[in-house]
Amino acid sequence: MESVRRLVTVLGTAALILGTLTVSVASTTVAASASSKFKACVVTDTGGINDKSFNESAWDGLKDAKKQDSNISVQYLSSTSSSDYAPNINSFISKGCGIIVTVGFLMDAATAAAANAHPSQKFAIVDDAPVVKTGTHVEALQYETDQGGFLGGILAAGMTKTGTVATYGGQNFSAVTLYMNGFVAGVRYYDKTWHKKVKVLGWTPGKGTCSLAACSGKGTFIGNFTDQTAGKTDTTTFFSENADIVFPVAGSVGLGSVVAAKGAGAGHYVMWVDSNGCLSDASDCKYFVGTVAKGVEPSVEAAVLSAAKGTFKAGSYIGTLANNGTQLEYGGVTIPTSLKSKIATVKAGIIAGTISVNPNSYPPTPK
Amino acid sequence: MSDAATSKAPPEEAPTENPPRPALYRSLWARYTSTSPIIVALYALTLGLVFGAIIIIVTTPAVLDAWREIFRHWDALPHALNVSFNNVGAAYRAIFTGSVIDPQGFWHSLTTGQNWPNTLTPLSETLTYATPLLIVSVGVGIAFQTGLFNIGANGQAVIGGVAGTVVGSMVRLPTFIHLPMALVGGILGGMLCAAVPGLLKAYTGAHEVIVTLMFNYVTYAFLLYAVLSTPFQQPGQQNDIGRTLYPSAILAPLFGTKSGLRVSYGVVVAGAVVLFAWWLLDRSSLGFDFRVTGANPSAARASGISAKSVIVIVFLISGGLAGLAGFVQVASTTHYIDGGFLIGNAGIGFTAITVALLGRNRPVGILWASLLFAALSVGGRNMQAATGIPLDLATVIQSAVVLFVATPILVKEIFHLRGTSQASTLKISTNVWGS
Amino acid sequence: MQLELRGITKRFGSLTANDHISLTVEPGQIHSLLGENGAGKSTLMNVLFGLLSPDEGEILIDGVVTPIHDSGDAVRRGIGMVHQHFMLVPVFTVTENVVLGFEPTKSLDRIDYKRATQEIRELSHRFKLDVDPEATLENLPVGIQQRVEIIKALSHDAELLILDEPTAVLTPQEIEALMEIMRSLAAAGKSILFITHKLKEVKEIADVITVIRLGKVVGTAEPTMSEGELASMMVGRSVNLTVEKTAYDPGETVLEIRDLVVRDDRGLVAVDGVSLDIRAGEVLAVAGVQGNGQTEFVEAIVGMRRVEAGTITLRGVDITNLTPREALDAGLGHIPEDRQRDGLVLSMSVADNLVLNTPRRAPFAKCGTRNFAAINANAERLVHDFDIRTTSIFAPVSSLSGGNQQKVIVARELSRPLEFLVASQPTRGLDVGSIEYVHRQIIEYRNRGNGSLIVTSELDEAYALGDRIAVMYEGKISGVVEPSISRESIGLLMAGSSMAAAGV
Repeated sequence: MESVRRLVTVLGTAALILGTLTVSVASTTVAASASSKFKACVVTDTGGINDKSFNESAWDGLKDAKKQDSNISVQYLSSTSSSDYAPNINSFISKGCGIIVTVGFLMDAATAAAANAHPSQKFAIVDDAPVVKTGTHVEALQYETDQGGFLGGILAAGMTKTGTVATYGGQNFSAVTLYMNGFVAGVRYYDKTWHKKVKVLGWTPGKGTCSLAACSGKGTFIGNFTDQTAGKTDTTTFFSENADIVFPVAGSVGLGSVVAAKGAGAGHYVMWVDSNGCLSDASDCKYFVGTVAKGVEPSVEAAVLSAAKGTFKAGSYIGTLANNGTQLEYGGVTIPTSLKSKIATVKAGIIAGTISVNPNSYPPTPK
Repeated sequence: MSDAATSKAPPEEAPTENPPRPALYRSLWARYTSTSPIIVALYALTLGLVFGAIIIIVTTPAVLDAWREIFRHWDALPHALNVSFNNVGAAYRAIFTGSVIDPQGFWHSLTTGQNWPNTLTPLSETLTYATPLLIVSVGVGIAFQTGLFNIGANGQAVIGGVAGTVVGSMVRLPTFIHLPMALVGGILGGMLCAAVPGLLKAYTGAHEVIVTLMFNYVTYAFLLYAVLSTPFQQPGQQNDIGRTLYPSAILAPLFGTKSGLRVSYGVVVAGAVVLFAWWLLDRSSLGFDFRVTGANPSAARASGISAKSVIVIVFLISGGLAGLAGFVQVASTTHYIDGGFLIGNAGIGFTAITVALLGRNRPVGILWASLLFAALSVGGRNMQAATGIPLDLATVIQSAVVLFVATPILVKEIFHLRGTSQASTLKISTNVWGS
Repeated sequence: MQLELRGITKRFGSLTANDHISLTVEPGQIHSLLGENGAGKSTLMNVLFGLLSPDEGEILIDGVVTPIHDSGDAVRRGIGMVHQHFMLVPVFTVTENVVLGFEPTKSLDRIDYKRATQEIRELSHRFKLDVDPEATLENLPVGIQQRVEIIKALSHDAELLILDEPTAVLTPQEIEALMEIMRSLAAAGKSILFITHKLKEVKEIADVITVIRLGKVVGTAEPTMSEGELASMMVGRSVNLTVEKTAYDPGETVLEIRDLVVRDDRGLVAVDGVSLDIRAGEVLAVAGVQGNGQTEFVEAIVGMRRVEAGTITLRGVDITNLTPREALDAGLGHIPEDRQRDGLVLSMSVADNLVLNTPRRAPFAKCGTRNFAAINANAERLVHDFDIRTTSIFAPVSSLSGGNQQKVIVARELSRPLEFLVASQPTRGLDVGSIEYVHRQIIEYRNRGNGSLIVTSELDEAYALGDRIAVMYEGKISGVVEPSISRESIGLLMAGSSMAAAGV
């Protein structure tokens, strides 16, 4: 009985403390955001807001939009697990967000469910296209990164001194392998067009086509997006197999490749992915031949701005070379002008639709 | 827990006939180090909140700016205090309203009868979060009471989640048999995963901390393999995502899907687990064997308790509960598993270690501890959404609470060292079984 | 050095552990502090050694009031302490242990082992301590380890040595050697404060005896007083030191041990071909110096250690190599040597400890669920019947005194249906009152016509309990004798002589 009495005392005291706190601040307003502004909110996946990848890019997109339009306020919520997606989205719905940006295919189901339950709430989802019952309030942001990867392949093939380049992925997902597939296609196109014999390691395209939905093939994968040591090991292996340029499609794992390139001595380079390596990792710029960028930041920014202005367009946005949704950015290595002009020509060809980014359109590179 | 009041006298000289009566006045510290676990927990929570407040004050730019003002003129002090109080208050208010109830909303619902689902969402979320955490923590606590460290609860939960989801998504059966089968599948998955370290420990003496810890990595690799391979991967998906449970195998929301409240029949499962654990530890002969083994393995052996079978059984129970927790997590929230299931910050099997510690390895203690942890996590989300103070502050408070709870244990242990007393039930020693 | 304590009082809450204790130790004197466990001896010593500060009273050294703030202070003032539980590092050498904390250094902060070793040799020689400074501590017998503690104190120029229950861990021979050392120390002018509850030793060595009870000095005694008189002073009532036995009338053989071979933890043969018969209505006492295989012998009987060869038969049933559970169920009672390690779970309640090895037996459990009504009733009955002093049956056993802890074990074992009782060192570390009680329980058990085997390293106990005494030496039984035989003869058997050589 003693313990029961104690428990009651404790709970009573706790309730009192919290109650006091609650009541005393109930009247004070929170300084964080004024309610009159247009709220743009992002729910990250489990990578968190500082993942140097899509989550961070999406958040940067929001901040860019805020700079453009001072009437926008921005907020984010990080998810620790997939079971957080739904409550995080709901949390923002109840906070009156004008647009909610979600990131990644894993949030497909949660975004679709929330969108179906709240037909007036605007959503934008990065890297995914959820199926929504009444599709007038969800914008799917997707990127045909094989186009950017194709240009990356040409750059790598044109820059290699050893005649071998390599790529590897974090995991065998279409969002990853699409880059690798484009990269291989670029190398094959380079070999065929300019009669070279550049080899590519790390990805062998499958028979079928490669799209945002599915991409078949075999290749080298780390198994996650965090193990930089594994990235270093695999890259060193590629170097020992005579490759001198490696294209990691594995988020921060790629930093391991940079370490490997430093250790391997002069003439070993890395092709960065997603967002310009010379900006996100400026001190290592001289090891980057270039970056195959994904336009998450500008596309999110555009979606937020349009929602704030009332010109929001639901449906599908496909990032291509044409709309800068994917592109090749040069790094800290000097690129011959002749190669640059070749790349410009190919880019124009892809935009015009005269050059295929399917590797199966070209003969395989030598073994 | 032995009441520490008796151990305050010099241990060797304490006569049994007249234990020292508590003086009328005791210092706060003495109370802190000696009174009931509940009081200690309350102290720890208060200290944790104070600690969190300090963190808020020194990390929030608006508050820091206000304090910087007082270097220019002293009159700014009230303002700085006011800003500090407002920010801390707003943060804690958001935690409270986001995890328990929003008084205004509650009053509104109470008077008008409207909007109940919204009003109850925080509580529902707290319970949803607490349910699997509670189940896995009870399993970890049972192992602790036996002197065994189950660091692999997270991996066991992963395997349990996969096993239960396989049953729930690849077999078609009516609900009344499908859901129980999936739950049993989760339990068996966790048991299977825990049996290996248990058997290794019992028959080769391999240290369970090492084996269970390493097994976590095995299970993560298996999880990725499972969600990326043909039979279990969601059809038509290239990504690391598994099949979705059939509706007959999910833990349905308690108040129906339409309510929008996620709290599910998982709470019934958790209640059953707490009852089972209470019976096991406090009422059963088997649990008596566990506790004797945990408190004094030599005496256990001399009393005819077989250490081998106790180790294996404890691991089976602990792993089974972890596996059950894994499946409950799936069946009450996402209904599918992806490659990030229970990885990183979401690793409830690791949080369970601190929850079990906070709950002193007792089922009812763990119930309160997991509710507290759940409330801080869920409330933290609301705090971030409302004030922009990062969710991580909730983790800071959780950690601080555990630290402050552990401190008097440390102090007590130091005092125990001078006496002849054996380890209290709380002393978790890694070499209980030798290695 | 002359040490005087004046009115030392130390309270813990409402408990007064020391109540105005005054005593004087003269130079060259062996002053014995006699009292039961819990009388306040250790508290007083901790006050004297600066580990506790007194609430009242003062300490005078050579007539000067000298407050002692901490143990370093005590050491500087020439007070040395030999603790009951040695404060030594097993893997260090004797020299390293002695210099630990007060390392003599050469230039560049190197420890001057040569000087330290030399110093230890000198001390060892001067006081006939016979310690090799280069030996590793864990390889030394307990008696020698204790001398290392003494050397450590002497190396800090101690003039007053406090010996806290120094004989509790020693064999009779080692005790004898310690007495010699104490005498030579006293002869060299050192003062000795000797804390004990053993009457025989006090009578043998002490110049002056101060008896304390319940924290108060109850008087000084002369070493010439009889043990009975000393015991009554100490306990506060008259004590019966001899146990009443009925006439020795052995029945049929109960336990039959044939050619038993058992190995110790290191794989060495510890019990080497022991054969014994114990009959109904008989106590067989196994005497011998500690470490001659008694521990392994008992563990083998109760199933806690593998029997390498030989057989153990209980009433015609082979019980060789049973598990502990099977041995318990076969009706073997066991009072273990180390009660806190093997006999009790200190953090658990008295009631739980009273059913520690019978938790599943009816009526204590039904269908795997414990029956607390029966468990508590059992505890209430045994606490009453066996006079276990506890505040409640729910109090943790750790709150009980050593004697009452042992009573819990005795009550538990003797209250269940037994075929045979094995008791190992049943009164080690207990006070006079408890020893008397435990002895009476064992004899009553024997008087009811049961067989039992008592292993003891205290010769007095072997005489008091044994109907026959078996002496164990290096894993073998060197002889089984009647208790009428002289102590000298048994002493020779304990040292390994044959029966003939011992004059039996």
